[in-house]
Amino acid sequence: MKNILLSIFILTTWVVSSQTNRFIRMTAEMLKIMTLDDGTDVEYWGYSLIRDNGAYNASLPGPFLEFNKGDTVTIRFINNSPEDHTIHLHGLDVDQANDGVPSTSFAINPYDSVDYEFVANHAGTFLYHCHVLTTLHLTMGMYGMIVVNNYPDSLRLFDGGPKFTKQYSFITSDMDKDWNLNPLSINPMFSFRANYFMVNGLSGNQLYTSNSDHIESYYSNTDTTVLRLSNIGYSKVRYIFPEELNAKAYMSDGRVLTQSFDCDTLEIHPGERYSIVLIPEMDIDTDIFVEYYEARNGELQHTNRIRLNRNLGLDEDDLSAENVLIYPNPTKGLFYFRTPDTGKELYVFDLSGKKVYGEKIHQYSTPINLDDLKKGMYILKYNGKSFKLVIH
Amino acid sequence: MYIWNMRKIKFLIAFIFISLGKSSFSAIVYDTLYLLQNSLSTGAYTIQTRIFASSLTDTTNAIIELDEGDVLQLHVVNLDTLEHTFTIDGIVENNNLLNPNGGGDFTITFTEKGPYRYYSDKFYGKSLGASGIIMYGYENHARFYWNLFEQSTPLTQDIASLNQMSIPIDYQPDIFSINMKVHPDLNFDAKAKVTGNVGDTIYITILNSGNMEHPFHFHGYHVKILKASQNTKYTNWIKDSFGIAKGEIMLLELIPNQPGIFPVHNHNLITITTNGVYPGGMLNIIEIQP
Repeated sequence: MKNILLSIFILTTWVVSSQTNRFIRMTAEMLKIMTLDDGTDVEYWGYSLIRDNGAYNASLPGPFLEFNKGDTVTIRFINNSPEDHTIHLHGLDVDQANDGVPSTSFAINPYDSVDYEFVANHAGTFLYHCHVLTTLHLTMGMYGMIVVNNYPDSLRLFDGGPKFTKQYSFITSDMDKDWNLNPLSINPMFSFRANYFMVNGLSGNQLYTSNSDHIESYYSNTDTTVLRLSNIGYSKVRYIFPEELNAKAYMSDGRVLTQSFDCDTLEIHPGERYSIVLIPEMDIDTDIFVEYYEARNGELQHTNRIRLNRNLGLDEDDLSAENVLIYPNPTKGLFYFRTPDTGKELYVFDLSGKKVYGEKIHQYSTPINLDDLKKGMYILKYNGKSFKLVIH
Repeated sequence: MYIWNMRKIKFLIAFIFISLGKSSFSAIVYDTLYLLQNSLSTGAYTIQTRIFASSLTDTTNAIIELDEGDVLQLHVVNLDTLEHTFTIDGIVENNNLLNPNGGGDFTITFTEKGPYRYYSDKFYGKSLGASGIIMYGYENHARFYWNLFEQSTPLTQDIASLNQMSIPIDYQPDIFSINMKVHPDLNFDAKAKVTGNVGDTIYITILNSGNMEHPFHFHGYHVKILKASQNTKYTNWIKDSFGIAKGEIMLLELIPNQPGIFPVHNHNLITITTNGVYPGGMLNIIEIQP
């Protein structure tokens, strides 16, 4: 087996381009339904990217956004919901007008739209969330994560910092299920008590068995992995990394630390972010533990496990080792097709040979959403090569 | 003309000596603190508190500001019905008991610039908020202070009547305050609301006098954490979000690089409520002019 196993990223949404003016459209939805690990269906509110064809589908967490250092970014936020919302760009130190706080700038009324504009001045890990009735809107799901790459050296954490070959993002959060079951009957707000704890919107068995949220097999011990960690919940979280990962923290809140430090355990308070580098030893088959601590009494409430070294069902023979990266794969529908060989048509066929999708690839990394297709295996054809895609 | 010139010369001499720095002439600063029974009400909820006030009518723990070189001569009067201590970790030990209607005198010399936490080490003192800030140095810059405190209305009744001697596992505070005030009253606290100009060097002290950890988040700016009495890993980090442990005191340096009005708040979002409703509680403002 000569083919190199491609890196599969766990992030569900990345928007990558060269340093430039960036324009994305986002929206908010309410009355969405998600199924918890115990099978309960609860309501959530969330953000979504708006595709070129106008389609959108809010997720919890909201779409992972990725920019390059130096990008001038415009986020056109179109509020397709019956409540006011905003986007607060957490940690990006934007100006007052774009800070997303209603009392110091504005809220976006139902079915209205506004442009948020900022320059991504610092590489690092950031968040975004609604700042309308924040105590409620945030826990209902109106949050997401932002990564700013260290452009032009995007595979280096920061200028002069460590290089990496793989990258994952984890956003921890929690909810009080009673709030999500009855968001109109939640007073008094200090009664909130988190009883469901998530990584990237998944918990317990959902997280542990989800292919798209694992750190996959390491092909060799030359891989260096960056973990972008953020906590938007009410609980403090503590990551416990296996010793074999040689975890080291280099950045926090979008700034380089004065001194990197080894972190077999790492506490992350609500709102905090860290960028961690892993230099794994060979043949790891263990888990990262994520503990959640109640703020009022400091008690451990829950532990989630992020599986390492899991087979994601890819056939290595069908993968081009050099030119194409498809992630996450398997996917729930949204994935990224990354290749430097742009300008050609990408086609998607079902197993009966029927073409179900076609698009010319214009940019290095293209988001593609096939969440309206049935679950199963599909064949991607690009530039004379074939790839397998699993929608689950 | 001769007399005017002599007056001018004497003034200039005095001015020169003063300008050389007060540390050249250590001053003894006299102050009195009164340990009072007090309360904080938000309408729907009222917590019993204990405070070290600078006067009998104050409703918040005193902030004592000293210039570098000053020696503090402090008289503490205990007007509670229970004994307390006056403690500064590492400087004034907690075996100094203050009897009810009694007091104590303390001569305090600081050697290191920065903020210090003073408090009553008795559970019914510190858990009801008897904890304040002494700031030594940094007198040539703007200084602001956030003394975080939260509590539960029924629990404070039990603590005050000695029916509860520890924070219970089901602790559920209903009032969340900074300097014994809640948003939007913090806008009128000149020690809490941060004001200044772009390029100023501003020092902010945060003391967690509460009974739980608190995470804070800055909009619009990052700050440098100069000192952290418990989360020492934060020292010299540039952050916009960080946790503050129970009893921890921190010194932050803010050099604003843009004008504007920005919130700075607890990111445990139940604490930015008052009477169970958003917005309120531990939600403060930074207002920077160009």
